[in-house]
Amino acid sequence: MNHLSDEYIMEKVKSGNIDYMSEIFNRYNNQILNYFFRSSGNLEDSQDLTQSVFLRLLKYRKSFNQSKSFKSWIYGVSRNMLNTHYQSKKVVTENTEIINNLSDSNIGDSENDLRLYYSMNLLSDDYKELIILSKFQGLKYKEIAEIYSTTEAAIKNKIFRALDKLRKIYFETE
Amino acid sequence: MKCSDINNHLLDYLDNNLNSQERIDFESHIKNCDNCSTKLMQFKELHNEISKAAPIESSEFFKTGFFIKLNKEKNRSTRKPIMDFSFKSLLKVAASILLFIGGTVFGLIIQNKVGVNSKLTLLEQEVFKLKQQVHLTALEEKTPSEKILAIEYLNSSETNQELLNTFNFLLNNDESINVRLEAAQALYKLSDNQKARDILLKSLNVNQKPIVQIKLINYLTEIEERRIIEPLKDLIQNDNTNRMVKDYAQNSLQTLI
Repeated sequence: MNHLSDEYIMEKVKSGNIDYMSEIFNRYNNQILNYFFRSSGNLEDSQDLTQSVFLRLLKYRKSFNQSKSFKSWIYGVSRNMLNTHYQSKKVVTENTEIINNLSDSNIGDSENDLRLYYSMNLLSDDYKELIILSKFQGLKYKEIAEIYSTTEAAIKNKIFRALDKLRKIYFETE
Repeated sequence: MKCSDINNHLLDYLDNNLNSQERIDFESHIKNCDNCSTKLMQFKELHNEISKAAPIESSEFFKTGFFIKLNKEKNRSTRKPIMDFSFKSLLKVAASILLFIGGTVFGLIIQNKVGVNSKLTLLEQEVFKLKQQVHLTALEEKTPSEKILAIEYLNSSETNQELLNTFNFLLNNDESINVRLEAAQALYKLSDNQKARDILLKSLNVNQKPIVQIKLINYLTEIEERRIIEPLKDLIQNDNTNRMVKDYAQNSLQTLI
């Protein structure tokens, strides 16, 4: 099944072959989980949100539009879900929480990880999200532009500014 | 190219998206401009750190959980009787997943027992021998993970001065951050003992690794060691203190005062 595009598979789901949703899940569950976790710092919430995303895609499968890339669609849905979740619950992983998540898991390079996540957490939500999408999740500028309903040039510009800000914080030159 | 142009082209440069002329212009500016050259280097380093950040893995249980929900959803929308073909096949999938997990876990247990067994026996013997007297020299030759295992064993034996000295030494001097953190934790667990608390407190000023300093602040705040208040104030006022450490220090100070 690997050679079939995401869009093809989602069309199948749309036309009633619900079993195909499991393939979508297999392809995307890990990266969506990481998207939520990197954004919120809370593993349990991230797991719940991830499952909700796929169930939501299933529920609204009729609205899938082949002209839009599947990737942009799923990340768009995820993003909305994250924002809704933030509104109803105080989510912000305080920087003081990050160290507990990190050093307990004995990551070899804990020092740099800590510094990175700490710096990320000091960014505005916009900037943080853009960096997660483009640098951590590896989405292309075009895909991100689609999610934000803006141009590739505009999003590239914003991403640069976000990274520049992160750089300043990270290297403590501010 | 000017400095402002560098900003506009930086991402493209890193993504290898500049044409050859733009690339030449870019690089020649970098060569002659310290600011931009530093900026580029920092961007590269940041990029590097991000690519090293390890993603988390979703667990098998999590995945199985979803498949079950998926099937419920499917049944609801197609209105088929519960015991239909696809549910049976889902059961098969679930069963094989569980078998796989069971097999993997079992295999890992066996592997662990066999692999670490010889090291454990050696350590156990050594710990038994050293139970009354802990010698630092015995630990000097070991790898970080062996030291961590040793610390966990020693932790359960009686507290004595030599034991504390060992932890003290590891906390402040070991090359491995993980060993230092393990030693800090061991001392934290022994924090009913006044001397253990003293060691943690002293280490705060001595320990140069930010992540260890932060853990120390955490522990000392948790056990409500009020003698930390002045050192915290010093850390906050000292310009050389790592920014993250300062944040933690400020946070703790608010809790304690």
